[in-house]
Amino acid sequence: MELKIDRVTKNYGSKIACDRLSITLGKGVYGLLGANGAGKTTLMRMMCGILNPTSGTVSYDGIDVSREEYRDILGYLPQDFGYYPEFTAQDFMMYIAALKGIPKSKAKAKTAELLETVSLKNEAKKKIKTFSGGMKQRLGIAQALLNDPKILVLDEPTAGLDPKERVRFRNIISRMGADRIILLSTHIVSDIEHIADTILVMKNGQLIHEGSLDEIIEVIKGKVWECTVPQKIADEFTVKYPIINTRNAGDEIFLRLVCDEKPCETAVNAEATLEDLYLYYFSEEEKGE
Amino acid sequence: MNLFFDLAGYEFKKILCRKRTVITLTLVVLIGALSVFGTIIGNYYYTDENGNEITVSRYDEEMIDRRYGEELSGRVIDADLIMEAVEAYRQVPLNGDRHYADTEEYRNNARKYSQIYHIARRTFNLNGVEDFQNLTREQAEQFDKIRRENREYVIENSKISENMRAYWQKCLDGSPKTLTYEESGGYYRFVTIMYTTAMMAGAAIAIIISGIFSEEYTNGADSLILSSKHGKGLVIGAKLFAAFVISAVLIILLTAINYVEAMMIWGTGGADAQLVLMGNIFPYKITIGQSALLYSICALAACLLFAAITAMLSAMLKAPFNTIVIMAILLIVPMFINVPDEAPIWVLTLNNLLPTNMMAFWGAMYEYQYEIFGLIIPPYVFIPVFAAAASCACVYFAYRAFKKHQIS
Amino acid sequence: MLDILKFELYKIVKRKRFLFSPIIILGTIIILLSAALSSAYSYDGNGNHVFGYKAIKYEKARAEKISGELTPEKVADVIELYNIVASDTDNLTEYDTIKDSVYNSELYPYQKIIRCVAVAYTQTGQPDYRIINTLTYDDGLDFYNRRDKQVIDTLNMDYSYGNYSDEEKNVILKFNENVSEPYVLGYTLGWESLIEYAFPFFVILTFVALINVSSVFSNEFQRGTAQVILSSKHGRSKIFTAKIISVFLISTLMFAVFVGIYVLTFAAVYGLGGSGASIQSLILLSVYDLTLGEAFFTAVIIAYAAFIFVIFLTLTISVVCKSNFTSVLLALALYFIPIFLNYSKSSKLFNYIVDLFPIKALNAFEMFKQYKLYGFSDTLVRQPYFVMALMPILAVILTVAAKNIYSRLSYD
Repeated sequence: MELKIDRVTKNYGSKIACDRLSITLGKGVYGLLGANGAGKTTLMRMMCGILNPTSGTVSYDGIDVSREEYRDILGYLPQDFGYYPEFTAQDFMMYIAALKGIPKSKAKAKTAELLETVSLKNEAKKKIKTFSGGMKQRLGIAQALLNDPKILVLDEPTAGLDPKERVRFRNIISRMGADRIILLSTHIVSDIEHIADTILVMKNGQLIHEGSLDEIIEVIKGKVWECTVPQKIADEFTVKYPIINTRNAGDEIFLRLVCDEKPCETAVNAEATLEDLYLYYFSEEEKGE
Repeated sequence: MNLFFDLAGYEFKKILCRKRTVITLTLVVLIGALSVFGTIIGNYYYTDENGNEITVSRYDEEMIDRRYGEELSGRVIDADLIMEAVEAYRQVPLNGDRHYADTEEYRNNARKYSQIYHIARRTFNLNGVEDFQNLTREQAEQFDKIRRENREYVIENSKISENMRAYWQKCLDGSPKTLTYEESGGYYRFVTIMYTTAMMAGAAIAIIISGIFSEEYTNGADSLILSSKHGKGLVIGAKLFAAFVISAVLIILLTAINYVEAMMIWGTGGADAQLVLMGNIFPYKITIGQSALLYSICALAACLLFAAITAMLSAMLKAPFNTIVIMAILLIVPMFINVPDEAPIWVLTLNNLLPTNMMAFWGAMYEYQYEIFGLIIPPYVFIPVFAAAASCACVYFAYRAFKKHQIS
Repeated sequence: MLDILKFELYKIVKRKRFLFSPIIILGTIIILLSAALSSAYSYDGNGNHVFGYKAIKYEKARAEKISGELTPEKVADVIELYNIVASDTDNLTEYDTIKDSVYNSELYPYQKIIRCVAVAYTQTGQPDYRIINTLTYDDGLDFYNRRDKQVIDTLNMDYSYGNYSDEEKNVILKFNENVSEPYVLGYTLGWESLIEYAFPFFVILTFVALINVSSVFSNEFQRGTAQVILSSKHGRSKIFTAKIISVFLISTLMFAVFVGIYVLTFAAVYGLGGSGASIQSLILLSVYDLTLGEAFFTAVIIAYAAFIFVIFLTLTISVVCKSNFTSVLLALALYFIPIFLNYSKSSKLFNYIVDLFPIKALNAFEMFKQYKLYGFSDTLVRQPYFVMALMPILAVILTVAAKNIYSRLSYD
């Protein structure tokens, strides 16, 4: 079970959305981390065969992405996925099942099972146009799982879900990751922290880092500091270092920041998290560097 | 196969569950069903000899004309019949205050021969009733000869190829020497109303089908469809199948409604009558009934072509708005641009291949045929064949456009 | 306000469909000109048929023979000439009609006058050219009286949908008295072609403008920008005004530019001499005291009034509909469907209302053929001027209604 992405590039005129990206994915859950415009969605679309790369190939166990056999084992939840307002949840699931070539009898049972899994069992016969954003998202997750896909690609799957549903979702994905390839992208860093076996960090169309959570965080181990300083110093630090957190502490300002050396006398080392790493990598972009 | 029909079922559901589809279909079927009655609703007014205003219903007037026509049915239009009509018309005063058609002499005597008058007027190139009143027996005896001579004049003087000229001569030689009158008001009314009906069906098809692909793009479902197993194959076929089935059912239903209504009101007579009884029309070797059937097939083909073009544009243009604009241009603009009769024949015949012009009876029975590698093909054959070929091309482009669609 | 207006203008002109609009309209002009040229015909000095662009030269030469005032003497001369030609048996066919070749070489130059005689001297509504055979020189001198009698007979005819009232007849006859005599003839082929193809041109021009305007408001909802706009300071007031003004400016500019191109294109091919010819040279029984040029430009103004009404109707629909597709569909339906309405044979009111639909009003030159009056009791206004006044008033009413609807809009 191997998904091979080989020197995949996507250009839009002079803009390079994906730059000779190569990676091989095996069983497990992969979290794709990157700022807006890093190329995560472009990569996912190319992996799903709905966007042709400018160059490079995507294949699963030798089956190219353009073939029907590939799409047969694929489950995809796009960002802002579309639906039919007049369809009920059940209708929609049955329609997607037909698209995926699942026989009707099997589809019915699977639909019921998945709607229960995503807590939409009671809304099965209601029209999608009456659903809230979170309900639509759960329906989207359910349709991606219909054909028991060997490759599951989820683009911002937890957007719009409340904390309880996010936990539930994580548990489903974690269970499923044992015997399939799951790639999910999200800005909710804690989701990746909890379920991803491997984290892929993308920047400017390139994979800049790949590894487990511990391996990834190694980069900034010992570089996360917390300190409480006067406003003036806080303003200086804000310009100089990537600031992860800031809050008022009486007359002074509490800061959590990333810095190679100790920034001030009162600073103490803090345990690094994935969010610290995200801001460490991507704060330069925000500052326009 | 089951899967294909399952997918098609969902496509039907997507199309038919939309509010605009329900409204459009309801309106079109309603208007199509009621438009046949347009000429029989309301009253006709005339002034009698005493100056009183008389009101009669248009329905009654039509039924009187129908009865008169049926009484004449089966009679050969020869000198005897023509002179019978002339004698009746001679009693009609022309120089009074009232229009001749309002006089008792006309209504009671001449009116029953009005169809014979119209046929004679066309044949003898008369200017009006006065000329008809002056027609002599000697002239009436020349009726069939002059009919033939008129056609021979057109054959000799038209700017057509030798192949077409030979074809025209063959049609003339093959047509019966005499003309037998048959009341065919039902068929006349049917082919007249079908043009409007087919145009309405075309507009409805454009509205209903315009989102078949483009709405997948606009509502974001294209990602799901194209990334699924059958999304680049079977689904596209299912969409096109649904589009064609809905279009075919609509036009066939409307045709059936118009036909039944026209036959019920104006009668079923004239199915076996010669086509030339319909008016100044090319003498194809088909009967009125056959011409109505062939025309219906042309209208069906035109509507299916319309559906194919709409589906193609829907796949290529990515937005239903753009599709409906172009279909409106295709439907409406040809109505306003008249190609003059002096235009080259290829322009005239090409003009008849526009979908809206295919929907007209006079297009299906057009006097100029299509010449392909020396073979002369009448329009009622060429139009459906062309529509089928063009539809196939549109289907191919629609298929390709959706399959290759990139989501970026 | 100016900034907002600039952005609204920018939003309209930056759309792809706006960029395609000139292509469609110019294409239409070319097609119409081609149709006009292919149906143009004349006869050379030997009576041979001449078609297309070459015919224009011969028509100009022909017009020179009859240009000037159509005096009764001129009419009488033509009648006399016709009778001289018809009395020579060598000029006749076996059916005692004038041979085509003789007619084309001897009489075709006077065709316009012959047509006027046929209309003036035969039974109302059924002009018969053979009437000339029965006329004398003295009959010709009575031309204008006979023509006026035709107007009276037309007014006195029985119409199944209702006759002209006495007040209407008086008003029409009064206008008829003001028509200048003698009429002026001239080379009018250019104007005739412009007039004949004006209706399809206006229909397509209005259609293209309608497409450009149909999503001005609905697009904000479709894109989701309505949330931001409606919640902003000027979102329910200045934005609306800016959109209305920008649409008005762009539509008017489109109309002016493309009508100008239409006229200039035909003028370049046909020439527009003869603008001073009386409208009666085309429509003998018309009761309008206008030259052809004046009538054409009046028709343009009427068409503009109908055009503006359609634009503002479309804008109102765009305010009501929250989807571009529904907006354009409804606008197209309301615009085009009335073209299929046939006149009633029993209701005068229905017929008068049908003529007020904008697509019917775009066929403005037709109004000069008719004697329709609109109004109540003492105040009766002729159809062209009534339409010219009514359309903008309705456009203003629609704008006020649209403003009301817009100010109460909610985003859900």
